[in-house]
Amino acid sequence: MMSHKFARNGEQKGFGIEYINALYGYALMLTRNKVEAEDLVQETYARALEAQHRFRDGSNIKGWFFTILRNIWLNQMRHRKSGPHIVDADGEEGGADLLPGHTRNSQEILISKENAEQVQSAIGRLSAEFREVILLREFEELSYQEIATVLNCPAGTVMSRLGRARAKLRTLLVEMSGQRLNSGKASR
Amino acid sequence: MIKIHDDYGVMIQLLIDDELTGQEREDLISHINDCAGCQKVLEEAQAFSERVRSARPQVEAPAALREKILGNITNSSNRSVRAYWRPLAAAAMFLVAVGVVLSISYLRQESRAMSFVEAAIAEHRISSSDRSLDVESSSPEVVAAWFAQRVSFSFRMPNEGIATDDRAKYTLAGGRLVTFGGQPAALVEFRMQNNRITLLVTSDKLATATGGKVTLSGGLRFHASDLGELHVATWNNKDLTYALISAVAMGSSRSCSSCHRDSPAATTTMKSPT
Repeated sequence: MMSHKFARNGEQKGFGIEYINALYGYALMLTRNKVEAEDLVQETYARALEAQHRFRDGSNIKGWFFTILRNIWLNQMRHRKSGPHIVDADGEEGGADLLPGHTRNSQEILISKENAEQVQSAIGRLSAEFREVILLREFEELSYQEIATVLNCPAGTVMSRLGRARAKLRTLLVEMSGQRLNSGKASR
Repeated sequence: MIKIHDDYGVMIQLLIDDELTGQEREDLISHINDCAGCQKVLEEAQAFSERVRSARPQVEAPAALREKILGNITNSSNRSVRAYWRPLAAAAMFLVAVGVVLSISYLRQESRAMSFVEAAIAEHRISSSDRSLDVESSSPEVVAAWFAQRVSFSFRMPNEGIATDDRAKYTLAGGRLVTFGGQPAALVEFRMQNNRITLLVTSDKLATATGGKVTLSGGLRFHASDLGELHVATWNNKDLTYALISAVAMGSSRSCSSCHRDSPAATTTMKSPT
C-alpha cells in the first residue's frame, strides 16, 4: 500500500495534484456532470489545503482526497434534499453514459479498443454503488480499507460489495458478448 | 472439484487484490501450486481483473481546472510561508516602532534637557542689577514657602546634606519667579564671595537631567558639563529637575571643596538632597 506524506509548508509543490485526473473521473462518475465535477474537484483541493494539518502521516493521501471528494458530494446532495443517487441493488439503472469515459468530452480521449468499450459499457450498466466500488478498486487501485474509508463503511462490506459487483460485471460482459455474437449472426 | 474450492475462490480474489499477508498468503500460494483447479480460478480472476483495468478511461481533468488548483496550492503555500514569517515580521516591526519611539523620546528628552540648561544659563546671565530678586532671604524655609505658592509643582530647596552643611561657603540670597516651558519655575540664587550661583528648578515633566559627565552621589545622578565660562550641574530628584549654574567648577566629588569647606566626611557622607 502506498503511503504518502505531505511536504511541510512551503514545500507542497504538488499537494496531490497527481490525483487530479483520478479525482475528476470519480467526480464525473458521481455527478454525471462536467461542470459539477470540476467544481467538486476544485472544492476537494480547497478543503484538503485547509485540512492538511489534520492529515495523519502514514495515511494514504490518495484515499484521503477521494474521501474528501465523496464527503463534499454527499453534503451537496443533502443540501439539495434529494439525497445521493446511490442504488443498493445491483440493478440496471444508469447506463454507459454515466461512466466518466462516456461523457461527451472524455469520450474523445477514450481508449478505442473494442474490449475497453465493452467493459466500460458493462460497468456503465452497473448500479452506482457497484460502479463506485469497481472504480475505486480496479481503476484507482485503492485497498479495501481505503475504499472502506472513502465509502464510510466496514472493509467487510467493501469486500462483499466488490464480489457482487464483479459477479454482476462478469454476467453483463457475457450477456453483451452473447448479444454481439447474435447480432453478428443476424447480420450475415 | 472447483465447488469444494469455493472458499479458495474468495481467497484467490483477495490474493489478486493484494489483501492477503503473512501465513495466509503463503498457505494459499502453496495450495495453488498444488491445485490445478485453483490455478485455473486464479488465472481467470487475474485475466478478468486485467481486462477491467485495461478499460480504465483515460479521463483528463481540464487544463483550466488544473491551473486553477495549482494556483490555489501555490497561494496557500505562500500564505503558509507568510504565516511563518508574520510573527517575525510583527516582532521586527514592533522593535522598529519601539526604537523609533525611544529615539523620539530620547531626542525630545535631550532637547528638553538642553533647553532647560539654556534657560538656566540665560536666567543666570541676568545680573541682579538688571533684575532684582522677587524674594530676598537667606532662609531656605522662607524662600521655599514663597515659591510653594507660586509654582505648580511641589517646590523643595536642596536644603539637606551638603547643601545646608554649615561648611558651605555660599549663602542663600533669595529667589525669582521665572518661566520655563510655559510654566512658572523657580530660580534660586546663592552668593559665594564674588560669584553668583543660580539654581533653576522645575517639574521633571518639563525637563530631565541628562548628558554631561555623570557623578553618582547620595543616590542621585549629577550631570556636569561646561558651557563657556559657566559650569552646569543638573539632576533629578523626587519629581523635580534642578540645573545649577556657576562660574565655579563642578562635576566631581573633589569639586565639592569649591563650595564647601574640606571635611573628612565631606566627600564620603554626602547625603541625598531632598
